[in-house]
Amino acid sequence: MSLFDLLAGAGSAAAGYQMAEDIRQTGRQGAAQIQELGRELQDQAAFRGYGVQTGLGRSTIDPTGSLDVGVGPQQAMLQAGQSMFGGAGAGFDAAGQALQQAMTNPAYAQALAAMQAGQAGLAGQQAGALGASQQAMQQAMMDTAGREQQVFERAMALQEPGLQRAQAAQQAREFAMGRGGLRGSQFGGTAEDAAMARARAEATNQAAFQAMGQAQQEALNRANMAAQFGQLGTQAGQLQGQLGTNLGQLGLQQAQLGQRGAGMLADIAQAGGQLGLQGYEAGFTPFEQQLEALKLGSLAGEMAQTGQLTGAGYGAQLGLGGIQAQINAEKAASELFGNLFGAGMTAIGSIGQGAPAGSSLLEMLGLPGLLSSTAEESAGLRALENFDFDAIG
Amino acid sequence: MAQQQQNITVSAPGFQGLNTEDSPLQQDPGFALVADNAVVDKFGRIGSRKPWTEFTTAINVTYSAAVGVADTQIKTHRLGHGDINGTIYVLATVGVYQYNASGSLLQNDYFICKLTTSAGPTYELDEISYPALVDDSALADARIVSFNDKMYVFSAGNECLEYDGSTIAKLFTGTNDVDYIKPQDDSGTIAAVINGDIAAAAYGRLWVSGVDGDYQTIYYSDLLIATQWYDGRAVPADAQNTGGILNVNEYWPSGTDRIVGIAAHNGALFIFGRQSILVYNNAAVGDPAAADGIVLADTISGIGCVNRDAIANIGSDVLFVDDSGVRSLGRTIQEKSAPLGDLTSNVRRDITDIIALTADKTTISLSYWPDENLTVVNFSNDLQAFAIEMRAPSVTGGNKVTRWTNTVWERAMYYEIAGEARVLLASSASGYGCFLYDDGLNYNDEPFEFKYESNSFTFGQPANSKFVKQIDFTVVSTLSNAQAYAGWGYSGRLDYTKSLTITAQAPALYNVAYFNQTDEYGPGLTTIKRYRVNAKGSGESVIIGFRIEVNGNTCSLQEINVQTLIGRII
Repeated sequence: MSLFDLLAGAGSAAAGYQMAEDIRQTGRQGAAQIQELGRELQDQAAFRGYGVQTGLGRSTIDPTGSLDVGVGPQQAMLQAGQSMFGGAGAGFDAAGQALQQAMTNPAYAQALAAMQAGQAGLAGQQAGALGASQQAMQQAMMDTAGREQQVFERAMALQEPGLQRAQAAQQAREFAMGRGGLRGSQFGGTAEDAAMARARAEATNQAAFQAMGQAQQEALNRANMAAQFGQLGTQAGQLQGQLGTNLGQLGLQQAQLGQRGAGMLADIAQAGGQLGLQGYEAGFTPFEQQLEALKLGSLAGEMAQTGQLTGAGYGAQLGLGGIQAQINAEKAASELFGNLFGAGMTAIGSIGQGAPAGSSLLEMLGLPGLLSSTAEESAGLRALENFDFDAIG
Repeated sequence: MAQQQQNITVSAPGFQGLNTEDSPLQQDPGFALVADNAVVDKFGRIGSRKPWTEFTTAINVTYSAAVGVADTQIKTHRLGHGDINGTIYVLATVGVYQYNASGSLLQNDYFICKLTTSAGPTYELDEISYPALVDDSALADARIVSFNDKMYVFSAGNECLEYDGSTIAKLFTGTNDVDYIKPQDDSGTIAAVINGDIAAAAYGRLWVSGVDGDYQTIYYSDLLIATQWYDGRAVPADAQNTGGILNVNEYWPSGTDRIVGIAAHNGALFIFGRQSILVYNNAAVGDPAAADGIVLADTISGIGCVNRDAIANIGSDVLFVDDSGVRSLGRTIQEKSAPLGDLTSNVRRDITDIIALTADKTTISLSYWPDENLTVVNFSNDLQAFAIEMRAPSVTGGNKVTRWTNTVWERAMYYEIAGEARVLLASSASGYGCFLYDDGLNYNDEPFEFKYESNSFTFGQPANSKFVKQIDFTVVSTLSNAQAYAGWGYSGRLDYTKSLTITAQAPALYNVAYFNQTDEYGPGLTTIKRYRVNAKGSGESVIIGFRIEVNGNTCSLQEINVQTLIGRII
């Protein structure tokens, strides 16, 4: 690096420094002006409040925005509304109580108890019926041979005395006829003996067939009985369900009655509450009307505010324009100087061939790291960082 | 002062037969105290019976002579006849008894003979061989019946024999269920053979009792089939068999009895017990065991039959010999054992005594001879019989009865053959075979005695003494002279007799040559002749007697006239 380069660089830095100081100064001046403008505009644009005068009263809005309606709710109406609202509450309480009573109405409890009792009884009956049905069905499904034998034996036992009497009578007749000791090849004994034997055999056969029929009939009866028991069980279940349903309906009806009563009471309470609310709301009618009037007053306030703001805006714009023009002029002067000084330094640096270190313009301007990627902050940047742009309106 | 003689006429003396029951003084003069070998002839007079004339000339049986035999007796025991395929056969059972000199029986043989005819005609008994029997001696009391073109011989303990006209075989010959059906049921054989001796053929069946010694049961055969009997099996050999068994043990009215005879009459079956009678109706139906079959119609107690052969069917009635005499079954049934059923009531005590004293009741028999109008109850053991006149009863209601003596025959049998009625008598006199009850000489050419005695007469004055002066006997005699004896007496016995020669008067016969001349009619001499007997003695009552030897001749006593003086009252 040549000495020219060092000169060029020092010159540039001194010039750049001088210039940055000028610019800062300019910026500080601009900011102070803007701040001053802002304060002026704040005073000019600040809300000054307004008031509305009606028959009901005077409502004012102070510069802080506080509203003084100047008109309160109608106490009589409020009291009436509160009273009715209280009545509605009582009504709701009554409705709630009625509903509570409806929910726990004795008819429902009785119905429930009756239904439970009915269910218990019917359940027992159903169980018994179904048990009997099952038993009868099992009996119906059993082999009928044993029963046939029983019926046959009973039938034979029942008719045995008759047969014995008939045989005794036949033997007596046979004896009286002198045929007791008679045996013929055609009959084994006498024809009467054969007839009696045939009658006995027929009676036995008939009893056997009757026993079979009876056993089958009994099995069928048991099956029918089982079905009937089953139907009884089913009917008991149905009755049980019906009873529960009826009792449930009764309870439901009772509950519905209670609910209806509660509803009616609630409606009444609601109506009372509504009336109270309406009364309460009606108590705020003057206040609302005053607010409506205040709304109308706000238009006028807005119009005043708008004018105020418009004037402040115009002032701000003009102030800002002036500041902007000053800054722009400072800026243009700086840039021009920078360009002139840069060109001088460049020319100095080019004398020493190769620009030695520190011979760059920025370095010469005192902004060696302005365009550097190093972490070293330049004083320019620190200056820019310290610039209060918020003060600019 | 002399008294006038009274003439007492006894017309038709003895016409009422014997009467030993009523008081002699109260009797009708027609009754007789004795009427031996007498019958009531067709003219209503008492006369001599017919002799036992010899009928069979030979008995052709084969037997071995016993060692030491001194006497051989050949006796005919039982008779039977039947129609086999249109031919009348007569069977007889014959016994040959060989005795030694001391009279002990050495050997007895029994035969079944049939009556054969040869030219002449001559009749003989020819042996028919028969199968071996259990007890040949039972043939001496065999029962011979005819049934469905065969004849059957039943004897106690021996299987029934069947005679088909040529041979004799056992009833059950061959295979059971094939050739015959024995009494049986599903429990087994009831009777292996039919070996009873009480049998009857009636209503198309054989009815037999005494099978295996059971006299409470009657076995009856199938209809018209003698070889098929009770078959009580579930599957009988012949589905149409209607044979059966009738046990009457529980039906004796006296509680107990035994079957001694079976008779059939008027659709009923009469089962005779010894002291009871069972009457079964409807025996003639198709099946006795059917619902409309036999039924006990009546039971009679206290009256029965003494023997199987002491039963006679007279067509309109059944007669039988009870302990009390000969009874009429029809009358017995109608009158329930009333006295009217007693045919021998006029001699009841006599006949009852004989029956009671006859130990072997098989010697008692009863037979009906329709051509003679007689029923004869024979007591062969006593060689006497009572002949019962069947035409009309006596005035007492009992039948007219006479007594026969020397009845040397065990059984009598009436039968007809070729239009001829015969009464065959099974001779118990050795070697005679069969007699014929017919006119002619007696079998041994010995006369028998026709004997009459009247009851005592008082002539209506019982307290006065009688002096019989003369007795006139009006006699009918034919064929040959005969020796007779007139008798009279007082106080119930014949004290005096006087012989008479009864001359025979040849009867006027139509179309019979006389003295070899060609007269169309014989001489018309009367056969009636009066014989006068002078009498003597005196007494309160008078009895008159008459007896005559009969052998080829006939004699009837028509009238007796008694000439007597009635004396003072004694």
